[in-house]
Amino acid sequence: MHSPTEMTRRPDVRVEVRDLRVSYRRMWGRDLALDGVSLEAEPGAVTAIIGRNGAGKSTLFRALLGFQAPDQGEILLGRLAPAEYRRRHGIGYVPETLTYPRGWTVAQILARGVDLSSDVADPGDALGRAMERANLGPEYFRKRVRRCSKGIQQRVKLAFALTGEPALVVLDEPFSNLDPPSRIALRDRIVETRARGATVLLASHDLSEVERLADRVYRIEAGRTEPLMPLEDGSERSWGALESSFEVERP
Amino acid sequence: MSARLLSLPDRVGLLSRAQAQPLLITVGVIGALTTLMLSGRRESWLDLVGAALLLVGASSAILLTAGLVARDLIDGGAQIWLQKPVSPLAFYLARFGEAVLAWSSVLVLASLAARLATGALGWQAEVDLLVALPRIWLSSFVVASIAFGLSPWLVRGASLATLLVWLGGMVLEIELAVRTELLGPATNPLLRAVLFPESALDRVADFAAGTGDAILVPLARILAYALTWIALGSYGVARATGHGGLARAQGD
Repeated sequence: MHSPTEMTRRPDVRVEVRDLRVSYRRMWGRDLALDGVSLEAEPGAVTAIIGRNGAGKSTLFRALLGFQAPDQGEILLGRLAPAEYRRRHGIGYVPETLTYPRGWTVAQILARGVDLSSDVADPGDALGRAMERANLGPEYFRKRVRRCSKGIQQRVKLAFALTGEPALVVLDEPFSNLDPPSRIALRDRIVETRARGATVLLASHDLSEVERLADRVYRIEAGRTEPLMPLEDGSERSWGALESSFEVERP
Repeated sequence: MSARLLSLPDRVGLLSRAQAQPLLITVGVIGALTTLMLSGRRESWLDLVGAALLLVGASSAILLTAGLVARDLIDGGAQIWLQKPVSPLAFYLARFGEAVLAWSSVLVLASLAARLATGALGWQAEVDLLVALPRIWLSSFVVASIAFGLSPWLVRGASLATLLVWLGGMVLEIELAVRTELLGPATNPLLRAVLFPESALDRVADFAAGTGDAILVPLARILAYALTWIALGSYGVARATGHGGLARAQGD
């Protein structure tokens, strides 16, 4: 549930990506990661990105956060460029991989998240809610985050991302390493986040979760996006249709 | 801005805890070596303990500052902290400030321990050990500034590079002081501006001990030198975190 004491209301943010091209510099030449990606994501909706390993989903997300500069194309978060938007309002981001700093406990990581979220009205309440969101009991309060299981670390990442209740939330493979109860809890958190009007972008290989949560689905293939759902006529696709959109090479 | 959950001592403590093992080993080794060397050298204990404290301060400064930015960029720590509404430069300058407080605490504790130990042995010094502290602290601050200046640019070998800049610059500066006549008056101040300000630190020490009269010029030179390194580090932070530098740093 959204806590009115946690933060002042942030403006809704519409995400627009137009003809995005991103490449990485290598020793010899450049590797093209995204080649003409376009998509839109609306406030109060979950927009999912699916695609094979290495298709460029994480690259797209890093570009959305302003951590990766595009070679060409445009990204607008509201009316702002990504880095400017992030610096002004913050973006809830669950990266796929992350090494936590040494020596920090779960509570200290989340407290730092609350401290860095500039307009939290009641920091103590926000920390309690962050622990609650991650389904972490008091026994984890003093536990060093590096010593926690991967599943717990994943939950801490999500709780950190949601401190300050950002208007834009970007989740890169958030279901990885989670046990069934944690998956259900995460699903509830995503539904809650959407319900409070946030724009949610989700990359996942788990098509059943995508089917449950997504209002709109894009597939990235060969560096380009293809809208999969809703279809042009506005009708929905089933999970089976999403799955069959991948051509599987069988031996 | 709302009240902070993590107080300044909390944040300083967290930074120290992350490097607790190397810090304890370093302080322990320097302390043990100093104790061994002190046997039979009672008359020169002040120099030896002063040198040991300088080593404690400078090595703590290096341990807590070297790689501060680059480590975060590579491990992905920057991805987690910088998703929040914060300026990267302000964030890393604050981290540098926390590191300064952390190694300063180590230095003050080590100085008090040394003073208590030498006091218990009944050794009286002409100059109190604590009078040497401003010079030791300033030296460590300059070393920390070098480490911060290099921290966005070097991932591996940042500590070694800091040591080289510090010790190499110090040796050259002392050489320069001895062989002034070999250098023209035009190049001398220029070289002094880029080398570790050892002679300026000595003048601060003389002033603190009551044997020198000039403080402002040497202090200005020390601060200018340290601020130049901090500016280099700040430029590195801006470059690494702006225009997609973060992804480049992560090796994508």
